[in-house]
Amino acid sequence: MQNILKLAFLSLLISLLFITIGCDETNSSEGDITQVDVTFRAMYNEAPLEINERYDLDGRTIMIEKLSFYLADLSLKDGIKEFSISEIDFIDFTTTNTSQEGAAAGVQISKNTVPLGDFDGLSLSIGVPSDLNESVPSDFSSSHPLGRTSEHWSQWDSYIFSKIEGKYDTDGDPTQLEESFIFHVGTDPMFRIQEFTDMDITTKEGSSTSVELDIDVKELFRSGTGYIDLTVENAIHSNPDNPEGFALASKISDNWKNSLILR
Amino acid sequence: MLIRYSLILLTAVFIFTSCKKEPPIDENDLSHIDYNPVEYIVQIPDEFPMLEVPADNPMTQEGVQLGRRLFYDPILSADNSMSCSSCHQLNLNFTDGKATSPGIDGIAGNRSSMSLENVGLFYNGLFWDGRSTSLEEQALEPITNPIELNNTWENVISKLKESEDYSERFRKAFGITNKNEITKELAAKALAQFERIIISNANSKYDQFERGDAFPTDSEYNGFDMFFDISPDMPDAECSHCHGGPLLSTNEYINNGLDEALDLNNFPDLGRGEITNYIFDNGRFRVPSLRNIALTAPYMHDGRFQTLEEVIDHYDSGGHYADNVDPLIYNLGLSEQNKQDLLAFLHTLTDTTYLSNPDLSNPF
Repeated sequence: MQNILKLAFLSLLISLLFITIGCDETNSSEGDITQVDVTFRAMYNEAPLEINERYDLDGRTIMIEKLSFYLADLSLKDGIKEFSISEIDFIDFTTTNTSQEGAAAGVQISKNTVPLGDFDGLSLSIGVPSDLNESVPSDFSSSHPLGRTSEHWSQWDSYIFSKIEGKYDTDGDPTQLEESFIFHVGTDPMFRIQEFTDMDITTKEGSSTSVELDIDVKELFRSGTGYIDLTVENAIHSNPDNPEGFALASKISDNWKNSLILR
Repeated sequence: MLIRYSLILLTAVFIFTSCKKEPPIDENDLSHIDYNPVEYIVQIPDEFPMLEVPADNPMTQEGVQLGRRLFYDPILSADNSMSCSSCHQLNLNFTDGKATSPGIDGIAGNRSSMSLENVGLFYNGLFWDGRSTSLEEQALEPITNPIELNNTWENVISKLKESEDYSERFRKAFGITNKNEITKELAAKALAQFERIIISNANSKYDQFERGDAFPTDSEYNGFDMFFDISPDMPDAECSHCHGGPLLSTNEYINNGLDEALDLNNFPDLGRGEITNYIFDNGRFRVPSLRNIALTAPYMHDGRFQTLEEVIDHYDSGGHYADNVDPLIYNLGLSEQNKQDLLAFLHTLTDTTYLSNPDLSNPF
């Protein structure tokens, strides 16, 4: 009987030792991670876009005063698995692109727990996924990307996925820009997913890995082979009851997706 | 026998003197006053944003009551004539009904008193120009502003220390052990706690018909439709882009076209630009909440419009040009009926029930 007790005690001791060693191994595996920085830059004619500066759009002077979007499900892919970098973020060039330096720096999203390894793809979405889009800003703290009351449209029951606001010239004298454009897009049908494949991203221990994405802002105004005629199409609120508005909102949503360029 | 009685007597004297509490040696000592703060639960409508309370200034009954007294007490001004409540009067929805608010010396300021309704739920800067990032920071300023209470904090603290009542209240609210620990920062914390309880109910007619508990009139509904751009058959008055969400304000900074400025340096009041030094912020001001807007005339940062009718006329006109006038400010082309409908809707935003909260009233 005494031997059985001794054996049981010994087994317990060995088990505890094993568990302790096991825990250490888990901790050491947490060291096999690194940082990935994904930078978004708004570009116009291949130069960083400055908010409130004048640009040419197909012979017409325009000025962009607000440019923002919700970025969702930013993930790295390794062929089979996905690794999430960000579930939801609010990218607002309105505040960052008020100087050349700020515009050149862009907006950076970082994640410091990315596993080491090789990745061959990147995916992201423009907008708020439908499950999160059921929430309202009061569900979140003011510092959370979804806590912004300015980015939620209660009458749609939706976040505003993207905003492009500005002014344009109508009389050929760009001193004053007489008219304005407002492209606010939201509601689940406007959610767009973009995927980049055949990439070669290697995350390494001890050094952060950079991924750079440009948004070709001019492409946000794309319409067929030309650009949107702002004197005709200059405002949308993607009201589902307004078929014309809905069509324009769909076009702008597609443009956001297609404007993304991986550098 | 005598020795025995003497010993008993000596023991009794010893016990008596031991039990007797020594009076505080330091007359500023407050440690003999109980410090047992009780949490203050703020009632907030479900649809409102969360109340975010700084970790170093938790809400307590004692803190709120101290802040309430400070808010209404004219000893905060240099000549004991004005308090915070002079410009933020409860019966005027915490405004003063004036275009711009004069301070103790009668000097008119250049800006209108902002309503404090739900002020604790706004997190993108306070004052018209957003120069304060927290209520604790904001509360420090009016005391020393020459066109407001024109006092010094040294003077205020001196008066507070002289008051046994305030000293006790500071002890009970913040646990200080000595009157010399009363500081402007603690006074500001108490004021901030009081301001955080100025929370309205969500029970205006607008709230009720949003919940399906009331029916708007046709005119009110048409105004609601234009305000929120519900139907393509009605004009879009573009209101809710800035006055959206449960508080009817996005708390952003915009130029709403009040003044023409072909040169952005030429605004009569630089507003937000004075704080950020970014030229495109010149002439921009914080978007106020429209809850109880019918009670807070006159309107705009400088109180230039006496009535809501004037406000609606301004937005309908498209305002004045500046490079940074908001793109949503343009000629709306509203009919007179449209304007009447918008006005009818704005009146549905009135709900003064929260003002009967006894904790908001003047304690003196």
